[in-house]
Amino acid sequence: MTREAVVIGSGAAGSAVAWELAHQGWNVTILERGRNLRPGLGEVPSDELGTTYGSDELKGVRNYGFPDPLLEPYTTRTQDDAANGVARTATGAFGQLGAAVGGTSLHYNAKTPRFWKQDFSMLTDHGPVEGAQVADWPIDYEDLEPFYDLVEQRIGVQGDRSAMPARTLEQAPRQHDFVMGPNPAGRAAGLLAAGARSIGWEPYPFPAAVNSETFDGRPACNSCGLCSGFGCPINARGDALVSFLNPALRTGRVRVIARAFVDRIETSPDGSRAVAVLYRELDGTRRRLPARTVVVAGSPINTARLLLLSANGTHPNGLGNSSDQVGRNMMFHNFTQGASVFGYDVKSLRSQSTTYAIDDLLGPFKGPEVQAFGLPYIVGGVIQVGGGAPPLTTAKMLSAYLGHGMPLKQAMKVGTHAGIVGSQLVHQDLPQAGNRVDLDPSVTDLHGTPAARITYSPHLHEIAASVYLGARLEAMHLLAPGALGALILPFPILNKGATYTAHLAGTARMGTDPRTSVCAPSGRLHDLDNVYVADASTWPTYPGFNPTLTIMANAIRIARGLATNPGE
Amino acid sequence: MTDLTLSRRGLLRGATAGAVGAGLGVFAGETGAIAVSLDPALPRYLSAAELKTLTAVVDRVVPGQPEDLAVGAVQVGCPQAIDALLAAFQGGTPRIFAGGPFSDRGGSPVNHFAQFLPLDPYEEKAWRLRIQGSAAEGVVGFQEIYTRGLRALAAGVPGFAILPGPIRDLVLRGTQDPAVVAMRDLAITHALEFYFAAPEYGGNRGTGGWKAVGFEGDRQPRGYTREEVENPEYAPLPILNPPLDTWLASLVGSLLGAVTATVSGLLSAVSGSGSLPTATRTSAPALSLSTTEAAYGLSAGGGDHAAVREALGELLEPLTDPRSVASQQMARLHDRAAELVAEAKSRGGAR
Repeated sequence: MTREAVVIGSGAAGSAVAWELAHQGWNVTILERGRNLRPGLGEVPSDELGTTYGSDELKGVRNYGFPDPLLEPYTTRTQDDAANGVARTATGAFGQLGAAVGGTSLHYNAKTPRFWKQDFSMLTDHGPVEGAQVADWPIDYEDLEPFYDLVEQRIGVQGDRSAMPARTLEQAPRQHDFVMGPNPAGRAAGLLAAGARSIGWEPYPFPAAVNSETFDGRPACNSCGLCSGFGCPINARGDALVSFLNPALRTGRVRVIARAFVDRIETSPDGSRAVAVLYRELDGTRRRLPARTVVVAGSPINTARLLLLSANGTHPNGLGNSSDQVGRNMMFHNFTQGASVFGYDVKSLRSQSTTYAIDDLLGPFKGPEVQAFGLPYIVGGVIQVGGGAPPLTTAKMLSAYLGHGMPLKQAMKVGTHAGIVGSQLVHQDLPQAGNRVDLDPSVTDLHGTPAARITYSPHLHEIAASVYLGARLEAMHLLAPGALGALILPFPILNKGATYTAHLAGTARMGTDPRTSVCAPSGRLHDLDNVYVADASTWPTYPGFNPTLTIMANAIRIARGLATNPGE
Repeated sequence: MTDLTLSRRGLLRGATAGAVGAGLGVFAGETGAIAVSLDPALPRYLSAAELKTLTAVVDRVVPGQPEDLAVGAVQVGCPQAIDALLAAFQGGTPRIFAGGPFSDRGGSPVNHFAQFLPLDPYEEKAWRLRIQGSAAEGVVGFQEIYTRGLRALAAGVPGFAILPGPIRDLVLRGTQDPAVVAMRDLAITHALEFYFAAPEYGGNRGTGGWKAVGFEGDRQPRGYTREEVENPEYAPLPILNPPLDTWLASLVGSLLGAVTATVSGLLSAVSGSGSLPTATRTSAPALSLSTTEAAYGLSAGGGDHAAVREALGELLEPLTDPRSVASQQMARLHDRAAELVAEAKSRGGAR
């Protein structure tokens, strides 16, 4: 029993792991490439933490809390590019999650739906899809349910169980009510919800780790509307840092080393165990941290990159990669964006963003309209209802159409940021062997370490789903009372590559068969005794829900297994 | 080949030593001199002549008086803010990240935004590279992009800074000089950023940029009350005279082509002058982008105007051919949506 671990990454997964291990009496060192942005971390309770965030749109545009694309680029290409020998088509920040102590959760939108029972058994229930690696999860809803309860209690999830459809509660049963009731719903989201009801859908308050009342000493949200991409200035959001990392640090058994750029997990000579984690400090200084257990929680792109960078004589294709599945099955949530256009200011920024959830488009859908696409079924996702645009984001988008000058200024004046309210459908993305992360042959980060390269093309399923479900989303927007019209942007129809999203999964799928999966159901790499993966890399499929709640719940499940039955 | 997110332009090429100029107090506008107040607190990088040219460029990104009553980018200090960005490492805390959590506009007695955050070595390395460039790393900095572009513009079009606004528009839109193009696109990006950013960054003085478009600005820690959220006051969008499509047609229509026509239709609809044309639904979908986090992806390579324009262009390119697979899929989507709307209405569920 080692009772000591090195955790790589301090985001949703890593912080939850550290918190659970600390409560099991373990000592934990967390290595994080970002810096701390919350003054008082580890020194004061979470309700007394300071913040350097504000309602400051330019700060987000300038990558505050994110890796800088000049220093830590990713590269991308499509599957066709790869087949044609094209090394990369672009270099930049694509797919970069946050890099800060606390990870992307510092500025996430805090939407925390649970996955559904049906999400864990897609292959058994509905069969394979040609060209995709559809798989069952080796765990089911019941395995996660106690951890969903635990995480919701810790991060403080608001919601209204009485407003949830019967099928939702059947698919995602809840033993307990939400921690608190929902915040007021904005007018803009309410208009879209009315459109949804006229189709026969059942919108309900989106479960969210946002305080509607004082919780954990932190105040209630006051509906400023600047949520996703902004750190909450008033500390009204539950996240990895305030709910898990800071309390873990205050046990005295956890420490976090910031600006630590991990590039190798070192193994014993026979390759059976990890013995150390190697990283560089910002100035390039090489550090070696001995490790008795290693938990990788870098988020899917970076977790795959690290496992591949750790190749050695006993693991020639990368750590844990005897299956050749490391880096494969990279999944992004493709979004279909919709918007209703109004002739008056609907105040879409005046409320906690994304007020309503609609889960009428989860599917699977199997009728003749689906068969016409040449697919056995289409699986969908949740609709995030209600979103507005702050002016800089809108102006940049419009200037790409209109150029600059008076047309742009007049367009801004007539309220393209005020008369439009949006939604997004979170599409399930099927796993494909050819959608993968590997190491770029020539592009490197600031330390000369190979960058992650992402090869991605949407499957026919994604394209068909965006037509089939996009039509329904557009209908909802057209039916919003008073809407002058609707806009729809189904990315997979138009974009042959990957679309920007903060929702990533895959690259180290868990399963019971070491020939076809990277991790055991426990999260441990099949190929090593003491290396675990705890983030969304482990997911065999990517259900169409916001991932963070499930990342945290699954991470705690993995950490508890590690503490109670290490090495299994 | 379509990847939405990335700056495919090598934005940054080697650094150059730039002259640190004295202040410029006056810039000549279309119908005479416009007084421009200088903020002595902001550091300076460009020469007086360069700043004068930059001011004449920035004026076209968001024009102000006399063309429009609402303030323009020059009046709210965008040229000086850009100059200060170029001089960010010339002393004091670089004005890259404003402090938090509050300004003094939403009820806080203290303005934390006004206290800029010290950069950690990682952030400093990145921003020095971005602003100053590095020949060794193949990165051209903002400083060189501006100085080369502004000098090329002044040399290529003598008297540019005193030309009437519409003539400057034609010059900027029509230029083929790569140095001028790179500078123009960066100036568009930065002028918009400073026009709409919190005023502590140096532009948007008196929150004139926000007022011009009816944005309520940062509201913390006051936020909004339940009543303000659930029952906001009714505020019709302004009606423009002349209407927006006149602006678009007269100023940029011929240069932007079909996309402009459809966007014009959309914006006319937004401003309350009619229903949304079908064509708009097929070729202006990216407007909905700005309502969500996906918009960040378009500027993830650095937010350069040209990169966003290119990414959007690639995204919408398949729709320019009505016979393309993408166009047919979009048509199928819209047709099905129309059927679903009709069904819903026939059930009596709508409006």
